[in-house]
Amino acid sequence: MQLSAAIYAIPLTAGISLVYCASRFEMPNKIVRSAVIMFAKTIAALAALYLLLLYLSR
Amino acid sequence: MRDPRVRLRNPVTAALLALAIPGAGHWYQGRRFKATIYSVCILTIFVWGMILGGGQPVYSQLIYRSDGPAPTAQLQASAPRMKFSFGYVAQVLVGAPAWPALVQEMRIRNQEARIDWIDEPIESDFQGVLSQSHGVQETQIISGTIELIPANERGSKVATGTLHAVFTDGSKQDLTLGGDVQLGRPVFGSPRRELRCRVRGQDAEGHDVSFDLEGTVQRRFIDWFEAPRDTLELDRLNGALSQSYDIGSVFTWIAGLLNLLAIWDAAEGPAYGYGDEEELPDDEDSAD
Repeated sequence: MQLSAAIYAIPLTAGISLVYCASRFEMPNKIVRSAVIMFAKTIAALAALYLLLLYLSR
Repeated sequence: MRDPRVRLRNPVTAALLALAIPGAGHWYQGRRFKATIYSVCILTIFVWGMILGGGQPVYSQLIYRSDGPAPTAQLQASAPRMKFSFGYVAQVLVGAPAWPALVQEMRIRNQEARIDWIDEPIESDFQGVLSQSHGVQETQIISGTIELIPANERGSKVATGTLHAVFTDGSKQDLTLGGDVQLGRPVFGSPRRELRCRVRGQDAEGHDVSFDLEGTVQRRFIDWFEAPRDTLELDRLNGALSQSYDIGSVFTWIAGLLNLLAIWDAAEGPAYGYGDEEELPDDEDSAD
């Protein structure tokens, strides 16, 4: 159950990244590239936090 | 500074369109790629939140029962006491999909609910309890279907009809409805409308007895969708949907807040520039 709730973060992060980067730039290529980078960084940060919490709760 | 290559047409009109429907302002400006991103992403997050929250995360007011004899806010005839829901500040930014909440709020404010009045026949499924009125107090959980007909064609305090009851042990009995009826407010943020009335049936020994019936019937979609609700309904939602309801609420907030970025973009253009500025050596970090 916990895992399924955490899975929601992936498409949500993708949507937020796209909208945020669309509001920063005008060029489609730049929007998509920035969104992919932002998505990757955010997911990496969330994964690190998840692993840290997992380790602390052992 | 606004990039001259970004064509904003009339920024105020574009901002208002973006406030009404995510992406509409950009479509009006001819910025179709961004319009598609905004509408697809924001509306998907909003609809996803609505689905997770059982279609009920959006509401503008929380209803509290005023002092009086009514046992619940639904069965309170006088104007209810309402308190603004702060989550709606974010939800309303998503535009038209959240506007029905304001209409429903007005309907409740302008409505003098006649909770002791049935104005049209009701056919619905029923969930509730049956209590014996005389002798030893005995309560049984029942479900089934109900047909409720006002005693007068133009509406009445008295209803007749039948409850096709199914008891928890699987046994069935048709109970005759009769007497005064109490119905929950027509407009209320719950798909279930409270119903209280008397029914006649037979006890285990076959004697005719009267019962008090308390339960709920279906409320029409247009009468509950995004309507103000009470804490009892929120408790029911949290009980039925658990964390999904909270996650769904947060999704609808996020969708509204994301549309704020779209509105700003429609009015002022992109925050960092056109996007090709990185080609200049000193501006390489501006993308982050």
